[in-house]
Amino acid sequence: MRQAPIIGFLALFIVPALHAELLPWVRGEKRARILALSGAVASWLIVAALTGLYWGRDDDTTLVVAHLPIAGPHALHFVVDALNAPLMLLAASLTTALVLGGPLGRFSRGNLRALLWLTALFLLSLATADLVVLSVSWALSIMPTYVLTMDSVTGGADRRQVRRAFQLYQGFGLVCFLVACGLLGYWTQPSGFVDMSLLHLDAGAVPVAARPWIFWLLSVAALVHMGITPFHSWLPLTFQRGALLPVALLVSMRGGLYVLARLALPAFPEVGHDAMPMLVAIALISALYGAVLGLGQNNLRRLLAYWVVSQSGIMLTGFVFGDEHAVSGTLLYWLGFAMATIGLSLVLAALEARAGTVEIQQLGGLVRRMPNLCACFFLFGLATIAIPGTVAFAAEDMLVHGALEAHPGLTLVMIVAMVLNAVSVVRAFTVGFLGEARPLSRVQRGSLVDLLPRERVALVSLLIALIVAGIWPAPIISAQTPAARAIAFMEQLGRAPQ
Amino acid sequence: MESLPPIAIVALLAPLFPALAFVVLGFSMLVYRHPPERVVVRIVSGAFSLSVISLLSVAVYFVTHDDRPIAIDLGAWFAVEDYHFAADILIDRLSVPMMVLTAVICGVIGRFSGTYLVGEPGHARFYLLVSLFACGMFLLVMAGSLDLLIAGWELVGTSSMLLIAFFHDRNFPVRNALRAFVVYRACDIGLLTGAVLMHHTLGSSVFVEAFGLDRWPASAVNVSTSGATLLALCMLWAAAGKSALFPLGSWLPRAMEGPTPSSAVFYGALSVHAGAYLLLRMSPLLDYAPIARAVIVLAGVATAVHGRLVERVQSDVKSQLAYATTTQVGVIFVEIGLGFPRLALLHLISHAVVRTLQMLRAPNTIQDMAQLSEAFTALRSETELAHTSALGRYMYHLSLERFHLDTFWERMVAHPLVGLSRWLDRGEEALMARIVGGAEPSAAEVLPSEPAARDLAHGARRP
Repeated sequence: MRQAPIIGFLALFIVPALHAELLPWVRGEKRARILALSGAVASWLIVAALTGLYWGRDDDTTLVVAHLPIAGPHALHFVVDALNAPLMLLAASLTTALVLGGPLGRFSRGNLRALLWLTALFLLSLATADLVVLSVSWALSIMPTYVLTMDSVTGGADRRQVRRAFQLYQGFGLVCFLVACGLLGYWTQPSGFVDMSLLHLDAGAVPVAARPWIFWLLSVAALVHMGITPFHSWLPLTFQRGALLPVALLVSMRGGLYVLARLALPAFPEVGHDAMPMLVAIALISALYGAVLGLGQNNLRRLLAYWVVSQSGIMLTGFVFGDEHAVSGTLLYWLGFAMATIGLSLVLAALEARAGTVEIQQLGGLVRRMPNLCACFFLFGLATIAIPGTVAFAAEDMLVHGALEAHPGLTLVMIVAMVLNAVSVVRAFTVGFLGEARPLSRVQRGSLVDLLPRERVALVSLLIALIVAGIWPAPIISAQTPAARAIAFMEQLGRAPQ
Repeated sequence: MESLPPIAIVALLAPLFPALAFVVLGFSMLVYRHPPERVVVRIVSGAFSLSVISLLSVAVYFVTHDDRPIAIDLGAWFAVEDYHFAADILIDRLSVPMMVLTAVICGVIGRFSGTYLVGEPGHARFYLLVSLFACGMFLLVMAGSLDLLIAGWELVGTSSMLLIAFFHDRNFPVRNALRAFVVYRACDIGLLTGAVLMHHTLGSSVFVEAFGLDRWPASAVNVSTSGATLLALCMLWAAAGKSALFPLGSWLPRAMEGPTPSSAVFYGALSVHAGAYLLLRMSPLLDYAPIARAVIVLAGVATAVHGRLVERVQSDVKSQLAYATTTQVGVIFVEIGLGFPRLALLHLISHAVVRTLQMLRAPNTIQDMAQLSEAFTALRSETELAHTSALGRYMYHLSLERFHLDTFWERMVAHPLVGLSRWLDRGEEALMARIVGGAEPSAAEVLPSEPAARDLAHGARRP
C-alpha cells in the first residue's frame, strides 16, 4: 500500500465543483464554455497525476491510498487501484470531450454547471473507499443528470414523461442502493459509523439470512443504473426524448458494474456465486433483447439506447462468468464502449443540431454534405462491433474466449447479440447516412455544414484513443489485470465450499 | 521475443506496405480531401509492387529451402493469464501460393484501376479501401493462427462491404452492401465459435501447434471425431458466408454493384475464395470428421448446381460471372470434401486468375456484345423452352427467380426479426405510456414508410 497526498484526492472533487460554481459569475457564454473546459482539463490532469502515481510505482503495491482524518479516529479513505484508475481517466476524458464537442445550443451555462458537478461526483464515487461517501456521491450524482435531462426536453408532454420515468426508475434504484448500504453499515459497524472503509469491510458480521437481500438490493440498483432488462425502460425514453449527452455520460460510466465490482461481490462472494445463474440469465436476456429491438429502430437516439441496453447485458455476462479472460475482456469493453457511446452521442447531437432530426428515414445522402460527420459515425460504429484496429476487437476476443470456456451454450446467445448489434450499426449507417437524400429534407436542400473544428478535435481525439488502444491494447490489459484477477478470484471464492 | 529471421522480416513487409499506403492515403484524404489521382495511384501501386517483390522473394526462398513449413512467432498481441492472441505467421505450401496470388492480383488491380477509374468521384476512396483489403487479405493468408486469420477476415469483410457501397449516392448499392454485411456477420458466429473450439479440441489456435510441422496437407492431429466434426462444421458455416455457398450466396451477384476492379478482386479472385482457403487450412482436421466432409460435399454440390442453373438464365455479364464463380467455388468445396486439397488449391488459383481476367473484361464485353448476346439468349431460350419437359420449364423459371433465395431469407429471417423488434418496441412504448403517462405512439410513429426488413433483405435490384 502506498500513500498519496490527500490534496490530490480532494482536488478530484473540488476542482470541477469549484469551476461549476464559478460559472454563474462569468460573463458571456463563450467565456463560460472556456471556463468549463478548463475545469474539465484540470480534472483530467489531476486524474492523470493520481493514476500516474499508481501506474508509475516501482514496487508491488496493489493500490495507492490516502486518509483524511475528520475527528478523532474517524477518517475518510481514498484509493487508486487497477479497477478505478482507468475509469477515473475515462470519466475525465469523456467530460472534456463533451464540453468541447457538445453543440452550443444544448449546453447552456446551467447545463455546463450540472455536467461539471456530475463529473465531480463521479470522480468522488470512484476514488472513495468509504461506504458513506460512496453512498452519498452515488445518490447525488443522479441529481445533475436529472437537472440536465429536464433542461433539454422540448415539449411539455415529453418533459413530463421523461421526468416521471427518470424519477421512478432512478428513484427505485437509489432507494435499493441506500437501503443496502444502510444495512451493510448497520451490521458491519454496530457501534456506529466509525470506520466505513471498504478496505476493512467485514461482511462476516452480516447475518446469513440478510446477505442475499443486501446483495440483490445492490444488484438491482446496479441493473437500473446500467439499463439492464427488465429495468431498462427509462433508457430508450430518456435517450429519445430527453437530453442525450448527459444520459449517455451517466450510462457510459457503468456505475452499476462498478458497484458490483467494488462493493457487492467483495462483500458477499458466496451470494454472488448463488446469484450467478439469475444474473447471467438477466444479462443474456438484456443483450439479446436490446439487440433485437435495435434492428427495427429508425430513430438513432432510440437505437443508441438499445445498443446500450444490449452492450450492458454483454458486459454483465462477461463480468459474472467469473473467468479471468472474460472479466479482462469486460473491463476493456467497458472503456471502449464508453468512448464509442460518447462519440456516437456527440455525432448524433451534432447531426440533430444541423438536420433537425435523427430519424434515419428522413435522412440519407448525408455523406456528400457532411463527410467528416459521417466518417465519425461510421468509425465509432465500427468501434462498437469489434473490427480489428479498435479496442472492442481485443475486448470481444477475450470476452468471447473466456465466456465460451466457461459456458459455451450460453455464450452463443451473447455472440448472436453481438452480430445483431453489428447489423443494426451498419444498417443505421447505410440507410441514414448513405444513399439518396430524402425528398424535401434539409439534406437535399444542402443547408448542412460539416463538423466544426472544436467538434472535430473532440471526436478525433476519442477516435485516436480508440484506435491506439485497439492497435496496442496490451498496456491497458496489463494495467487492468490485477482488477480482473481480483474479481475472478472473488467469484471463484464464492464457488469454494463454505 | 527473439530476433526475427530475415525471411520473416521480408514476409512481414507484404502486409505492411498496403497498411502504410492505407495510413498515408487516409491521412492525406483527411488533410486535402481530394489528393491528386496520380499521387494516389503511385502510392498504392508502389505499395502493391513492393508487396509482390517481397512475397516473390519469400516464395523463392521457400521453394529453394526444402519447402518445409516456416512458422514465425511474432509474440502475443495481447495476453491474459494463460491465453494470448498469437500473432504468428506461417509460410508453407498453402500460404505461399495464396500470398503470391494475392500480391499479383492486387498489383494487377492497382494498375488496371489507375486507368479505369480516372476522373471517377471517390477515386482515392477506392484505393484506400483496396489497400485495407490487401492488408487484410495478406494477414488472412499468412496467418499462422486462427486468431490472426480472424483479424484479416474481418478487415476483408469490412472493406468488401464498403466497396459494394462505393457508389453511395444510390440506394441499391448501399442496400446490397448491408445485405452482404449481414451474411458475413451471421457467418462470423461460426468463426468465433470455431476459434474457441480449436483451443479446446486441439489445445491451441496456432496451426503448427495444432496440426504439427509436417508439409501441408499431411499432419497428425490428436483429436476426437466429435470434436473435429464440430470444429469443421463451424468452419464450414464461416466459409459459407464468405464464399457465397448455397443457400447464403444470393448476396454475391448483388455485390457486383461496386466498381468492376473491386468486383474482380473480391468476388472473382480473392475474397470469395477466402472460405475455401479457410477449409484448406483446416484440411488436416477433415480426415477425422467424415460427417463434416459429407456436409461440405453436399454444400459444394448444391452451390455448384444452383450456380450453374441460375447462371444460364442471366442476361447480364456480371451476374453470369457471379454465378459462374459460385459454380466453381462449389466444385472447389466438393474437392475439399472429397479429400483432394492439392487439387482444390490448384483449382482455386487457376479459377481466380481466369475469373479476374473475365471480370476485368466484362465492361468491354457489355459494350461489344450486349445486343447480340441478348438476342441470341432470348432466341435460344424460346427455342429450348418449346422443346423442354415440364421439369425443364420448372427449373428454368426457378433459375430465373434465383431459386427464390432472397424471398426465403426475407420471409423466414428478416421480416420475423424486424417484426418482432417492432412489436417489442410498441410494447415498450405502451408500457412506458402506462407507467409514466402520455399518449401511446401512433401507427405512423412506429411504422415508418420504409420498413427496416427491406433494408436488411429486400428491395435491391438485380445488377
